[in-house]
Amino acid sequence: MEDSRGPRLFADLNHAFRKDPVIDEYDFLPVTEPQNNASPLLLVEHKLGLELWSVRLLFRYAYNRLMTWRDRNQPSSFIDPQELTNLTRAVLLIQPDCYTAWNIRKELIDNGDLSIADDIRLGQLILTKFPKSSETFIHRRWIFQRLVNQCLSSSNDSTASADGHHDNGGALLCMDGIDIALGPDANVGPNVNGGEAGRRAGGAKVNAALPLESSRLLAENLHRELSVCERAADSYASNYYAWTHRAWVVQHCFNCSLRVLLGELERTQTWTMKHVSDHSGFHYRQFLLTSLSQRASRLHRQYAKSLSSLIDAEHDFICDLINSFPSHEALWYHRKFVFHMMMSSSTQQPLAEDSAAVLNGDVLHGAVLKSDGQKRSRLEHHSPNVLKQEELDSVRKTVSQTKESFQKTLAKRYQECSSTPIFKITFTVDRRCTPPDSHYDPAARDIVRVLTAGSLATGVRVYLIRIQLLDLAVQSGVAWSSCHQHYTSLHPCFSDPASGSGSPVWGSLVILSPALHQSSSMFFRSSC
Amino acid sequence: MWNVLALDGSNWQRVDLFEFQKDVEGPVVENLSKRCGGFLKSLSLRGCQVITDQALQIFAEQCRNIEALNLNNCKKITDLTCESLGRHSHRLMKLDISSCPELTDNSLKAISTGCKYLEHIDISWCVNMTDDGVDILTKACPRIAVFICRGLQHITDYGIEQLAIHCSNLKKLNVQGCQNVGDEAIAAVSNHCRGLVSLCLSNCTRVTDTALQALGTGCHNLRTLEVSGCTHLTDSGFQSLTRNCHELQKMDLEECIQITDATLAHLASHCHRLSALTLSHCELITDEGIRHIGSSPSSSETLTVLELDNCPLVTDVGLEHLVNCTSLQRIELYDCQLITRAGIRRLRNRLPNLRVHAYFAPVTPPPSVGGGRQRYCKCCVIL
Repeated sequence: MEDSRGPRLFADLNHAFRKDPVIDEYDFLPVTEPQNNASPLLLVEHKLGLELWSVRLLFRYAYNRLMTWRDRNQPSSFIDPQELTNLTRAVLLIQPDCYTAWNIRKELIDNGDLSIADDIRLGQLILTKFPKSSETFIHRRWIFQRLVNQCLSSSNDSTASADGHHDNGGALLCMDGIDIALGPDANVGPNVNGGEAGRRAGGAKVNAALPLESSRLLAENLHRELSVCERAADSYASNYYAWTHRAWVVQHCFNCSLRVLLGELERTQTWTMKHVSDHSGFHYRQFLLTSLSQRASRLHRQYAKSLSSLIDAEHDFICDLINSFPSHEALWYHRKFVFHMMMSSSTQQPLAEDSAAVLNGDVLHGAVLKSDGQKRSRLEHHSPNVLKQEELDSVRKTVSQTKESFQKTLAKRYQECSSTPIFKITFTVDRRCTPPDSHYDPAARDIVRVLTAGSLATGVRVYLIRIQLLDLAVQSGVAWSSCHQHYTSLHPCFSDPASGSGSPVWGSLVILSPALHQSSSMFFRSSC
Repeated sequence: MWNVLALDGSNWQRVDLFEFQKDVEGPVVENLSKRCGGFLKSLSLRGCQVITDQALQIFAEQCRNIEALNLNNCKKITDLTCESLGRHSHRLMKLDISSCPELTDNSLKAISTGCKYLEHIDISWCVNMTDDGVDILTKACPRIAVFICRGLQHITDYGIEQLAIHCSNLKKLNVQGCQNVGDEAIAAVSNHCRGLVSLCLSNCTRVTDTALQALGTGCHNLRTLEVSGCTHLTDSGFQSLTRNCHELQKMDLEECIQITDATLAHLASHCHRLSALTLSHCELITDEGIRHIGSSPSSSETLTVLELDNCPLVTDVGLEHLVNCTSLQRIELYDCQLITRAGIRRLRNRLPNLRVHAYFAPVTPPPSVGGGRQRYCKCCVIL
């Protein structure tokens, strides 16, 4: 008896999706007992509601069927691919962390039984209910990676068939230095026609049409993916899964195209303004700024924008936010990051300018100079010391003016951090110099001692000792916290036996002030 | 000894590889056909998607006495397979090539040249097949008794007419989802195939009452009629059908949204062998209609399955009319929102073996009294 409702609920769910393929949101309704003999699925304006009592029955039915089918030990009954798709959908809508179901979907995609567009849509739907579902993000990464690979392979193959593919794959996947042509319409229109023609021709052309299809999907979905991430971040505070995924998309699918980076910088501005106490959004902006700083010269060349003006704008933006929304720690952390970036870029600035000038002394560059000349950013004509003084002054002003105690505390803490000299020493330890049986690297230990002693002598606070083992996959958290305990001597993990005796280990030892790295200062806040 | 016997292909007459469909590849079929040769009579490769033409061509050459062949869902096979079947398998009686989308009319032509004794053919979801192929096939194979062509948009009235004219032995016809099959085809079938027992017209949306009238005049032996989704059918059509077809046992009237209690009254008074009745989504059905079913002279003996889901007007009173249907085994009541728990409980009390399917939690017998008393653990008893 109990079982009879499962199949019906499952059929109801499939019926709902057949009736409305573009369901864009769903949730469980808090109805614990069936009130009348009505279907527990409500479908109103593309929103699907499931009464709570049915969720368990539906899940049990779909999950059991799926797992019995999957079980290699049992003689599995045959399930139609379409049915499998529906079963996995039912399971994932209720429990998106069931990676077996995701893997079955991967297989279905591989066999061509499930269209990628449908799968992308399901993930999108699941993220409205479970915005922090990591398995869903992982699956989406798999899809996009697959699409990207298909496009890349097509652009590689297209030496043989030099028709539309090449432009297509190349334009979309922008090997280093080429930006993605934005606006799916411009790019996709002709390709779609090409794809259809290929399909009509059938046979041999089918294979050729596949990359076309995937590039079309990619173009359609990549931009949507960014807004999917934004929505997920909106609906769950500190949703680092969503932001990490977004960063991944920017890095791997857009290949950190400048245009996308700049667009994202502008786009997330409103988001961060709405979520001033959520550090995750600022963290993403930090990722954007760092990526931009790595491409500073190209930024200058292509967009006539200097990195310093961007950082400057960011600094104004964050100061403005701090004034408008006092007492939010996340804002101050971001300010710390921006300020550090200002400092480091002001020291590198002349070099970058020179290299840009050397690289192209053309008309564009002249235009840049002219346009920048009128409104040169603070960074460009201030030395680091002046900058720092300005920053300290403005913080001091905040401390004196603010009435809120927490804001004052935050400002004071910031002041402290920025007044300590930024102190960064990186050196490399070569394990090859030491006998393989030694657990401690004497050379490295000595250096640490010297450093800590030196900092003690000059009165500098040592906030963090971070050991980076370059080819050792030691979880940074473990290494750091143990460093915290033993930072006068090196911890054994530095010469972890797992690293393999004999094989060279390269490590670098970094001492940073928290101004450099705010997240690590949360782990290590001790003065010696 | 057993091993030798077991491996001796001549002892293998029926082989079904459905259980191993994921693993069966071309060489398996080739070996099998070499080993069994002319002894193999029945082979099912249902769902063996990796099987190709090559393997089946060898098979057709080796196993010339094959009588029943099931190639359902062997998606890779093409017309070449059917050509070699037509060339070699002259004894073929039963052929299932459904869901093989590569096959075209040429397959039917090839089969029609060789397989004269064909009785049972299933070409469902072979989306490229058209009237022409059916025409040629039916002309050559007059023994066809079972013809199944679900979901073929290119099959029209003409094709089914040819089938009816040439294969007057037709017992079972299934044209589910063939949107272009309409009243004319059914008229031809009722004219020529008087022995028709089973007819499925589900989702043939063009079918109207005319078809039911034609069936009433021609096919008096009809036992199974499935017309779910034929929204044009009305009470008057079913009236003329039931007046003449008294043998009806299984009726699927899902989503015949125009029918009312009158149809049920006709069914109850004329069709005394009715065992399964589906009325899902027939939204005009009321308690009165259920009363007709429940009070029919034969309903207590024959009716086993009654599906009333999504009939919004049916109430608990309607269920009370069913208490005489003692052989009723299953009743579907999903989404009948006027049905209450109490109504279901009353029905279950009268018909304890009935499985009631509704959204309410199924009625479970109350937990046995006693046993809930304080218990001692074993060691306490020993002490």
